[in-house]
Amino acid sequence: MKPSTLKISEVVQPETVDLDLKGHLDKDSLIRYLISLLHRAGKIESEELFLQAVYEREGIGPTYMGNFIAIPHGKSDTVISAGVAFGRSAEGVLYETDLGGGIAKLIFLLAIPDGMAPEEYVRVLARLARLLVHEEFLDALYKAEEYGDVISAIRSGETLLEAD
Amino acid sequence: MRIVAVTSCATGIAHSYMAAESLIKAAKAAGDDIKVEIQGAMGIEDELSREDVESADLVILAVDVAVRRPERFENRNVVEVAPLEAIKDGDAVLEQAKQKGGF
Repeated sequence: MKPSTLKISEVVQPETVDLDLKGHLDKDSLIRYLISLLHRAGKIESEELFLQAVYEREGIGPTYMGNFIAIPHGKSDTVISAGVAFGRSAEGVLYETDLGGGIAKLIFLLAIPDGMAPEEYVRVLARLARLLVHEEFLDALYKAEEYGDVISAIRSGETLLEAD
Repeated sequence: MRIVAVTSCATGIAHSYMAAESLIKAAKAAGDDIKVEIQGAMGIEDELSREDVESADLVILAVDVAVRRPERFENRNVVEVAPLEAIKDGDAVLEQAKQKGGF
């Protein structure tokens, strides 16, 4: 893979990481909450429009990946720049989808701008997605105590990627 | 053994890459050679050549949407699997695909 033009630390920002999700025990309130983080970080214009985009995508197929991971995502022109909100829940959130869901403990909400050339954001999001199949990376995410730990988990995780 | 695979998904962002990584990881653990083409939001990545496909013992299609350039896989030993299953348990899916493919 060529180096990404976007840095993971630009996409996953301190304001969009919450390592202690509390009081978001259902999928809808969780997604709305993660959207509010993206909004606060200046990643999206309209929370409502982005919510629609996320649910449109939810309608296509499950974003629950098993192994306590969910990756809801939406592509919309209300997204200002590519962003990822990451939430971690110790007790888990009931994450239901049409084709069966499960308990999600690591939730990544991806926001993708409509007009942006795929080359500019797909590489960085793809790297993150690929990392999630590696147990070492998941362990590091579960152990992370603060934002910096998440970023260093992502950075050191990149050495795990086989395809590069 | 030599395996080639194609992964794809509806939006071409998360599932296709996760399924690819999961199959690569499983193949490595099983001692198999694998090359995975991703048909995603950036078009076709790591495209399989005719030689790649012809020299492979098994073709795994982990696709949610119609595979692009399907003519490459005509008359080959093709097994279809669900991308989500490949993500959830790459080892099991690889094993099942091999069995279905006659190995």
